[in-house]
Amino acid sequence: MERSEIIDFTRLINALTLIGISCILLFAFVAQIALWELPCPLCLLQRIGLLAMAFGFLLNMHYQIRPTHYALSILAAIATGIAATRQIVIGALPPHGYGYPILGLHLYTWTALLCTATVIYTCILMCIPGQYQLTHYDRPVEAKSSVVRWVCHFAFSFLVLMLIGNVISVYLECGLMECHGDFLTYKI
Amino acid sequence: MFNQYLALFIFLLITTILAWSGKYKLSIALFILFLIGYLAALAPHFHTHYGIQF
Repeated sequence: MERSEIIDFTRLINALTLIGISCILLFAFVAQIALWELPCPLCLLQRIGLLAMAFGFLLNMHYQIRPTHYALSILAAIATGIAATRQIVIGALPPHGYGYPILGLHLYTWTALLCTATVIYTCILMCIPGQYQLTHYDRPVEAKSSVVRWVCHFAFSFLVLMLIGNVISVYLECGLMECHGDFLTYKI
Repeated sequence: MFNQYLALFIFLLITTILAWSGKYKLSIALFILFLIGYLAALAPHFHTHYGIQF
């Protein structure tokens, strides 16, 4: 495998990871609309954290691949994991849980598992040899393959769409002031 | 107090768009600021619940 192919392959994996994270956010949106499950403040923090985890992968997709980018995603995953673990601890005491369980686990428990998996997955991804290019790392670079390029652009658009969706959702739920209330109805 | 979750989402959106438009160093600096803001928003959730103190 040539070096440019390894880089394109790693770029593709990063793009697919980004799409995966956006799909999870889309699923949370579907649950919010279909089950009328409005996110609580800790749930919102976990959503923000999930989107932040995508940032490092986004940089790898658009610039040279660097260990620093993976580190940013790992940091975001750890911060999100702390938020999710805190909610698990709160949910373990009566009244048990928040929202409907999915496949036997609450969404925040899934988030904690996902964050742990992301840390492990990113560490494995960092080990792919020949992917790093440590010069001219601050200039945007397009993938050589047109398919990978297309997937990268789609991944970015999907991520931005999810971010905009969440901005609208949080505004409708809480308005411009601090989030208070029962989280059963939209404030706006 | 303002809606800090909305602020964090908007901050991350701006950082993402800046990263895609080629502002590499600025976007990384903003992302580190974002992480500090995230931890600041998370900290108040570690108050006493049901007699358990963290």
